[in-house]
Amino acid sequence: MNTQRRARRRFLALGLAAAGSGLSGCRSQDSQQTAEVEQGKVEGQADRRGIDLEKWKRIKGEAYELGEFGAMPGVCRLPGPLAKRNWPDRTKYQGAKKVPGMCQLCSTVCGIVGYVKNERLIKIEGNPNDPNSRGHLCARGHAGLNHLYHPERLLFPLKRVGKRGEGKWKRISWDAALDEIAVKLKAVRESGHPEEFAFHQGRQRSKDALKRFLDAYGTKTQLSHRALCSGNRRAANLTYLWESDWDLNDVEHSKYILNFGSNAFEAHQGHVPFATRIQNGRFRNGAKLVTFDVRLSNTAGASDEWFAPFPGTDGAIALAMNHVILEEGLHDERFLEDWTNVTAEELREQLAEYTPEWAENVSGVPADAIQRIAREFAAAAPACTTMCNRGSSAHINGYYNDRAIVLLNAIVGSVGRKGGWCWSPWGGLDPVVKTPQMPPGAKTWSVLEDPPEYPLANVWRRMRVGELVYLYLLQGRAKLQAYMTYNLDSPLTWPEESLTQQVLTDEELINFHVCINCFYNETAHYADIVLPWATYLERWDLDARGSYNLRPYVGLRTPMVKPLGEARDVREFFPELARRIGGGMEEWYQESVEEYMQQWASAVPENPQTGKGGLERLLEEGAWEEDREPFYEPYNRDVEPGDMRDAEVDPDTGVIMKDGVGIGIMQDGRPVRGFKTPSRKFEIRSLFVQKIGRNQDCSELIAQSGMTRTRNRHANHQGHDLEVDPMPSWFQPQEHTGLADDELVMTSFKWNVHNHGRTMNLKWLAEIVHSNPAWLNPRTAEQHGLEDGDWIEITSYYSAELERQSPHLKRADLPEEEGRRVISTMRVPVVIMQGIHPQAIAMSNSCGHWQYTSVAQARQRPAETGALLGSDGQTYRDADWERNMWWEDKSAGDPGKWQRNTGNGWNQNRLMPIAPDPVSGQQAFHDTVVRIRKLG
Amino acid sequence: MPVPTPQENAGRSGVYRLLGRLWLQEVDTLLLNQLGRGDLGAAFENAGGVVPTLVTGETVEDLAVDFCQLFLGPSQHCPPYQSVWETGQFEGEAGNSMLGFAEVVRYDPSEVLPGGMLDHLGLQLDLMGHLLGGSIAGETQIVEEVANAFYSAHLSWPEPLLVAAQERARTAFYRSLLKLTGEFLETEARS
Repeated sequence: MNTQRRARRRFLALGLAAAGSGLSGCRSQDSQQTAEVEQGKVEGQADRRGIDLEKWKRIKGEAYELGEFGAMPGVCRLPGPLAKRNWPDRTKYQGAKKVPGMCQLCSTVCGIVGYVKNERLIKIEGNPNDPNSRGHLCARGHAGLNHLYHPERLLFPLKRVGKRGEGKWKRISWDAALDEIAVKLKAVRESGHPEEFAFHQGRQRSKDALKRFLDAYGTKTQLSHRALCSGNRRAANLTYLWESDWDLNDVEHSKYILNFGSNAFEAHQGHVPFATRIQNGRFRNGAKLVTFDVRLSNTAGASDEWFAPFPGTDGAIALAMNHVILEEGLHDERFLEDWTNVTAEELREQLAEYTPEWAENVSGVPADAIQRIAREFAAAAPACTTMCNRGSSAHINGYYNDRAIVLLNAIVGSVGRKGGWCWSPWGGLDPVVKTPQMPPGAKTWSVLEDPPEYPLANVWRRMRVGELVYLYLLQGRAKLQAYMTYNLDSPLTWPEESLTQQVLTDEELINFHVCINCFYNETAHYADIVLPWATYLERWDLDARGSYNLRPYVGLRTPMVKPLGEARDVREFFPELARRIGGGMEEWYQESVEEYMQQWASAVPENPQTGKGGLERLLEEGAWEEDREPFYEPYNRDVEPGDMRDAEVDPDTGVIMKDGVGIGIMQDGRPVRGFKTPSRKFEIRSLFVQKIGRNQDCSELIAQSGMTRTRNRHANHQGHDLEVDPMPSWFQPQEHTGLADDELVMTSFKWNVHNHGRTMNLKWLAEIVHSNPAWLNPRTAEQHGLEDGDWIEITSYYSAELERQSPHLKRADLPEEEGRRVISTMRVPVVIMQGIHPQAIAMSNSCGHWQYTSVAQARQRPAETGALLGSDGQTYRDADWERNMWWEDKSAGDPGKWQRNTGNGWNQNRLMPIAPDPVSGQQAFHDTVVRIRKLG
Repeated sequence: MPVPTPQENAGRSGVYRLLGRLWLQEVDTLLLNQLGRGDLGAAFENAGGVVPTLVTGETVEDLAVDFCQLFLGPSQHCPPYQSVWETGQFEGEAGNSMLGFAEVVRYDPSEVLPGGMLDHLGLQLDLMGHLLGGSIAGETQIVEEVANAFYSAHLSWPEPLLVAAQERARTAFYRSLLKLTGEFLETEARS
C-alpha cells in the first residue's frame, strides 16, 4: 500500500511540475487560455469548462459492476465483450444511411451500398441499381469493412530513414512530403527528360485523375500491369474487331458456352456479373457449359463437362473444332462470306492440318470428344459463345490460343448475335459521360512504356509490357530519376521476385521512389516516401466495366465516410503537387473535387420520378444505364444517310470512305456500318498484324478502319521485326514437347475470396484461404513417391522457346543447369487430387506475403501478451483476433512440424521467369517447366 | 471512496495531459530538454521517465523512428486506438462513446487531433486531463463521477497495447513512457 501511495505521490508531483512548466497538454496555449477563460477574456469560450449536466444525465445510463472497480455508472454500451451480449443486435442498422458506391477489391467494380451510422460504415451489400452486378456482391466485397478499418492501414505520410528496404521510417507532414516530391519532380521535368519520371500503377480506377496529372506533367511513362493480366486476349480480339479488346459473351441468352480456361465463377474481370449470367443462361435458358482447364477450378467443377488438356493447348483444341465444323459443313456459310475476309475454302485449307487426332496428340483430349463438342457447339448457333481468359492467354503462345478460340464464333456465325460472342465499343464510361477537358497528351517515349520487341503491345491500346520494367532497368536500357508507384505490389505479383527486389533496392537504378498505397506492402518496403491512400470507400470516381447488358452505364464511387487518419486520394493531393511543381501544371486543377465530379456526371439525365439528374442522381441511385438497344449485330446497322453525303465507295471492296476515313461497307447494296477493321469485316486474315510485325507502314489500313487512334509502331521499333501469322494458327513452346518424367508445367490460379495481391490482409477472407500447397495428380504423386502433406522442392527454369525467340531477355547472372537457366527453387507441401493434369503442378497466387500486415503474414502479433509490472496481463485481450486467428504457422520453417492449413503460403511468382508472349508481351504465367524433388 | 482534492486533481490532470501529448506526437528538442531539466526533469525521472542525456537532432530522429515503428507503422506496430484492441479494427463503438464524453465535458477533439479517430489513447488521456483540470467550484463530485465512468470506458483498455509495445520499443525513452503510462493508469484505478 505504501508503494502505491509513493507511486501516487510521484505522479502527482510530475503532474504539478508539468502543469507548472506549461507543458501539460497538446495545445501550447492551454495554460494561458485557461487563465483567460477564467477571466472571461476569451469570448464564446466561457462555456468550454465544466460539465454539461443535462447531457451527462441523458447518456450516463444505469450503473453496473466492473469487477474490482466496483459500481460504475453506465455511459454508452461498451465495446468489446459486452457488445457481444447484444448479438444479434436487431437495432444495428436502424437509422443507418445507405450510401451507394462501387467496390474495388477486384477489377469487376460491382455496385455497392454502404450502411453508414454515426459516421461509421457498418455494412456493405450489393447495389441492385447497378445494371452489371444487379445487386450481387461476392465475399471480397463484403470484406471491404476489413479493408477500411484494418488496424494496420497507413494513416500518415512516412519518410524512409535508414537504407532503402531496411524498414525504418518516420512520420512527416503532407506538406513536407509534397514539397519534397515536388522538388524532385520539378527537377526531372526541367532536366529535359520528363520521361524519366515513371508512374507505375497496379489496379487503378481513376484513369482520368492519373492521366490528367501525367499529361500535365509531360511524361508518357505510365506503366501498367495489363501485360500481366489480359494482353493476349485483348490483342486477339483487336485483331478481329479493332474497335474493342473485350468480348462480352452474351451467356444469359446462350444455349452453349464453351469455356477455355476461364475461372469466371471465381476470378474473371467480369466475375459476379458474368458468373450470374452464366448460371442464368444454364438454369433459365438451358445452356450447356463445357470447360477445358488444366485444373478443376470451381468453374470447371460446376460445368456440365470438364476436360483437362495439357497446359497451353487450348488453341490446338479450338482449331481442331473449327476444322470439324468446316469439314462437316456445320459452319455459317453466309456469315463467312458476308462478314469475314476469308472464304470457307481458304479456311479449310488453313485448318487442314489441325485435325482432332492432331489436337488429341498435343492436348490429350480425345479426338471424339473434340468432334462431339464441335458439333454440339455448331448446332446451338447462333446462341453459342466461347469464353476465355488467362487460362488460355497467359502463355507464350497465348495470342494464337485466343485467336483460335475466337474463330469458333465466326465459323458458326455467333459473332455479335443474341446469345453469342458479343462486345461493346464503349471503353468504360464512354459515351455516356465525358471527362472534363484534359491536358494535351504527353509526347515522350520510353522503352519501359513501349518496348520495341512487342509489336501488338501498343498499337491499338496502350497495353505495355510491365513485367519487363525491372529487367530493362537492370540492363541499363532505361533510366529513372523518379518513380511513383500506385496500388502496386510488384515484388509479390510479378515474375522473378528476386530481380524485382534487387532493382527496387538499388538507388542507382531507381533514384527516388514514392509509393501511394492504403497499406504497407512489398513495394512500399522499397520506397523513399510512402503516402497513405484513401480506400475506395473514402474517395470519388465515376466508373464502369464492360457491360454485360451490352448498353453503356456509369456508376459512382463516393466517399461513404471521411478518410481515416491523414489518408488522401490522388484527386485531393495531385492538384497540390501540381501547384508546387508549377510550370503550367496547376492550370489543369481549377475546381474542387466535388465540382469536377459534378461537371463529369452532368450528362446523366434527370430521373423523372425523383427529378434528380447528374451527380445528384448518382449520389442517390449509385448507377445509371442508358436506355438503348443492346449492342447486337452492330455491323448490320445502316450508315446514317447524312454520313453518306460526299462519301466514296471502293468499287472492289465496297468499303465506304469519307474524308479519308472508313465509315462502313456496302452489303447487298446497302451501306452498313460493318466492323471497324480495314476491310470493314471480321478479320480472320489480318494483314495489319503481319505488316505491323514487320514494322511496315499501316496508315492506309488504319484509315480504312476508321479507328484513327490506332497507330503505326514508333520509329524506335525499327530493327525489331517479328513474323506474326496473318491467319489463326498455333505452335507449342519448345520446352513443352517431350517433358522428362520429373518435369511438370506450373500453372497458377486465384481463389474466389482473393484478388492477386491485395486481399490477403483481410481477415474474413484470409481465414477462408490463407495457404497454397501445390496441387499434384495422384499419378504424378505416385511416380515421385509422394503422399498428401509431403514436402517437395520445386526448381523452375527459363523458357527454351523464349531463349530462341527473345534473346533480349537473357540474364547472364542466373545459374545454368543442363543448359537451362534456373530461375529459383522453393519448398512447399503438396495436396494430391484428381483435379489437375498429371503433367501439371498448380499453386494459387495471392499467398506468401512478407509485408502487408500481420494478417497477410498469418501472424497474431501485435496481440501477444505478457506481464507488465504491477498489472494483470490476462485482464485485457483482443478477443476477436485471438479467438479467430487460428492459422498461424508455429513450425518456424521446419517442414516436419508444419501443420496442414496453417501459415500464409508461398509466393508462387518467385518461381516464375519473366516470360512475355513475343507478340503482345503478355506474361506467360502458365508455361514454366519445373522439376520436383521429394524432401525428407 | 474519498473525492480527490482540487490539488490532487490538478496533479492528475497534469500527468494525463503530459502523457496525452507524448502519445499523440513525436517529441521535439524543446520538449526533450524540458523533460530532462529542472523540476520537471526531476519529477519525470522520479516517476520513472528516461530522457536521453544528450539531446541532438539525431536523438530526436531516433525517437521519431521509434515512435513511428511503435504506433504509426508501417507494419507490425501497435496502433494506440481502443477499437483496435477491443474489436481488432479501427472505428469501433469506442469512438461514439468518446464523442459523447467530449460533449459532456465540453472538449473539442479537433483542437488536439484534427480529423483523427477519437479513440486514440493520447486523446483519451488528454480528455481526462481536461476534465480533471477544468473542474469548477461545486462540481467536484460530478467530475469524479464522470471521470470514473470515463476511466472505465476509455482508460481501462490499454494493458495489451502497453505490453505489446513494451516488447517492441527500441529506445529507453519510449520504454519508460509505456511503463509510466501503465503504472499511472494502475494508480488511477486503485485510487
